[in-house]
Amino acid sequence: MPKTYDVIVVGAGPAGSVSAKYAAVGGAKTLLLEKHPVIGYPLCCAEAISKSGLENVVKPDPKWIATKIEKAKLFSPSGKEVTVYHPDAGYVLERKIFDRWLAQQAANAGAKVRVGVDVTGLLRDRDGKIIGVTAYENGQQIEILGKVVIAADGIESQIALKAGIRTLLKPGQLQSAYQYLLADIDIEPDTIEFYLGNSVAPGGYIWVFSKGDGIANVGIGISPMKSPKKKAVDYLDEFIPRRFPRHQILEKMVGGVPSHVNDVPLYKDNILVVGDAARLVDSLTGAGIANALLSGKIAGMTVAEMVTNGIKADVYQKEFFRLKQKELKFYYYCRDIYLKLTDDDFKLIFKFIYDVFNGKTITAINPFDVVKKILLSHPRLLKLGRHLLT
Amino acid sequence: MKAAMNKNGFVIDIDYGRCGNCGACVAVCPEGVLHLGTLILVADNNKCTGCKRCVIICPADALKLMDMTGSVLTVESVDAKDL
Repeated sequence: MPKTYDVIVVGAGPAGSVSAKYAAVGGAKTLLLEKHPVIGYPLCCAEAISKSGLENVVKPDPKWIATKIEKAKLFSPSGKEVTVYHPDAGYVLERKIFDRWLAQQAANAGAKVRVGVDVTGLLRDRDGKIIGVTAYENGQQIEILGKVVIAADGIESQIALKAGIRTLLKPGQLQSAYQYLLADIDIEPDTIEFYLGNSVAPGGYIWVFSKGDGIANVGIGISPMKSPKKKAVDYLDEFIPRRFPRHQILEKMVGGVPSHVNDVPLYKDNILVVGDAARLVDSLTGAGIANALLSGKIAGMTVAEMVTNGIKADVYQKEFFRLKQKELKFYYYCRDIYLKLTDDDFKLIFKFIYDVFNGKTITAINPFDVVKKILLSHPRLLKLGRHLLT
Repeated sequence: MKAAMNKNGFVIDIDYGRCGNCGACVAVCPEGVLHLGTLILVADNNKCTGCKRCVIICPADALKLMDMTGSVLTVESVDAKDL
């Protein structure tokens, strides 16, 4: 075991494990640390990912694919339904297996992997330079030396904050989320459903993501600003008996999903931040797995080059933002509009989507185009979203 | 269990029956009061300044903020600074 690692990756979720794999493949002496005794659990995730979001980084493997998504249904506040067929849209993952599989890839690539190690702080030298981490393992405080640290420590990230990267969020920048894994339900195996409306899920939406075989992730995200008293789980518990008169509960989980976050720096000196720790979550949809995988890959590759060729960490931020900043900013501004939508606005949007998409088969979707067309479809929507069109 | 009180008198009471270990409260705490360990959430009340952001965000309604008299500080509406 080396005295000093080239890189210490804190957190073995998708972002951390992919970082560790690419760092190791690139020749960096890599250590991947996970505070829980099990990789892949606990989870706080609806587990859906687009085809490109997954396949840009990882080749699909049936071992961890719960279902292939072939169609989507959208429901308005009044219950109007839009069905869109989108073959090969993406997947709903079985992340308990996916996360472990990713860590396995890192291990196979030469990364050292340790579980039950809770990293609590950064180790600094006399000049304040970060030279490693402090952690708890088996009840003892330990120190591990590393030249670079990748903070992949999720929603509850503290490492980046301690390095001086402003990952702190305000309550308005998080969705309150709650999700059940339901069994014995009436759901088509290849379908995902979305329910919108201010009394259904204020500032967010309810999702039903089939995992095949009569089970589904059924969850909700709301904006706590729009509903300070009534909790996410209360809305969900009202919805479930209506949609699923027959159901059994196999899992339940709470979550906080970053939303409405813009321009968090992705590095400082020799600390890189990836995935949920970097708040790389689409502000409109709450989707985060694809960003975790991509940021992990680029960060890992950058760290390997830092070690072998002396490049600096800013290369990671530059490359990731080159690929993703426009999209992240776009969703950020969409969220501004989304939070202002009244149920009448939802009616207008549904009318447009119904007229254009209902019953249609699509093979690719350009969110920029769709949103722009929606905004142009009615003067009230145009007024709300004019700035997005310039 | 009586939690230790800090100089401001604030105490974060954690209902472990409700807390789902999601970490949202940790993400919003400006003072580093909260830490999500391997099994449970813990609060270092000495650092708490009573901003209520954790109470506002908790999806599970698992957190209560109390002042030195033991009164629970509720969230009636949300301030612009929390947005």
